[in-house]
Amino acid sequence: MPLSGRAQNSDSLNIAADQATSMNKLDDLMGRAQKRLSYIMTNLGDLSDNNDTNNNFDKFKENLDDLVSIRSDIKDRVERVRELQGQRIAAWTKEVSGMTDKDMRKMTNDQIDAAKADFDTLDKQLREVGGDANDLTVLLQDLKKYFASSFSPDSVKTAQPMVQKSLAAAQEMLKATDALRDSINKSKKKVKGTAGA
Amino acid sequence: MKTLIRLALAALVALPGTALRSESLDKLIPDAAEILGRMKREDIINMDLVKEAKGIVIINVTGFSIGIGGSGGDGILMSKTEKGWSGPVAITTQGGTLGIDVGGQDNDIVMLLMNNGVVSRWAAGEHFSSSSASAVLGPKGGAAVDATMKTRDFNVYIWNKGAKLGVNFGGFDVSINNEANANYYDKPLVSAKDILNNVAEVPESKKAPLARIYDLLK
Repeated sequence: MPLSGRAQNSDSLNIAADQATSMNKLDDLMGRAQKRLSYIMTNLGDLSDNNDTNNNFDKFKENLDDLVSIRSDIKDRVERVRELQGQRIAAWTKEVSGMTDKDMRKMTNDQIDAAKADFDTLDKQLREVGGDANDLTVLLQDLKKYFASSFSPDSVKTAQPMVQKSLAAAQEMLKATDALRDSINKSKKKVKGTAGA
Repeated sequence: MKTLIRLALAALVALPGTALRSESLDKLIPDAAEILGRMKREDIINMDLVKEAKGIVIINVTGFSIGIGGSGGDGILMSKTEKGWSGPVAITTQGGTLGIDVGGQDNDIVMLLMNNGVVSRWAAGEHFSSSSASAVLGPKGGAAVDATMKTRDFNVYIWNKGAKLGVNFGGFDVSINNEANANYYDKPLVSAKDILNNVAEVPESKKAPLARIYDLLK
């Protein structure tokens, strides 16, 4: 795979291709999580309106279970992307050690530094959004526990501050995840060597 | 026996349309957000042109085998009002070709409606013949927007598993999914016109999931 301005041989490029594929899968999982979170927001909104409450509570529980399961897949996928990043940088660094041309070595080392910095920025964003997602999941699990112990029009009314807090946090989460997916997409293009090529 | 076979065949032919009409806005909105988000991320859609648009259609269109049902899609229609984007109207499209050449494909489509007349035609559930509207593939993200792009009826964006297809507009019908709209707005007789003019407002309990689409349209 010839790439303009890139001094990589096939080992690191093969890993880069795997990493890009893994980032695609991560993006797909995040899309699924966003959809599930939207359904949860709808369930909470309908519960607040006392609209078909039993049915909506059942759907809320199902959607929350699905969200937790997808989040577990996201965590595994993020770990895989990190692992491949490590492997790619290691393979690339090894390739530099075999280079005899001084200018080529410098150029490649600069590219490796840029790739590390780019991933560090993405990883920081992944951790921040992941942390917020943890907080939101705890909030939603607390709501589920509360409704499971006491479910009536009165308890739904009492839980309104918590419901509204969850809805606001979920709305922020959808926005933050869109921004994160945008970063993943840009980073993926750099990993593939297509950005600006 | 022949009657049974005829009934079964009739059900098969009718399947695409009836299946599509069952989608609720609670499901269509996250789907539309996903379509719009992808097109924005991949720099397919031109956000400068979005600012000029009077309306937007976001649909997923599935092609069925030729001879059975053409193509069908479901999604949402929104208009731009003085207060910003309106609430969503659930719509379905049937027949003709909308960026689809062969059956069995999935196409995500965003159409920017560039004048109020076209928005009204969608809201009225019209038939769009291939010669009744000027539809051109819209300019990609970051491209300069010129007067022609602002004045044509539609700017169309199509995504098909990563492939950007040309616009292939045959005749198609637009239907307003009244049942889905009535359920969402909790008003049995709500009309597309009332939704698009903000006469029928989005219920408070439905605003949070919809905010993602408004954010993506900024």
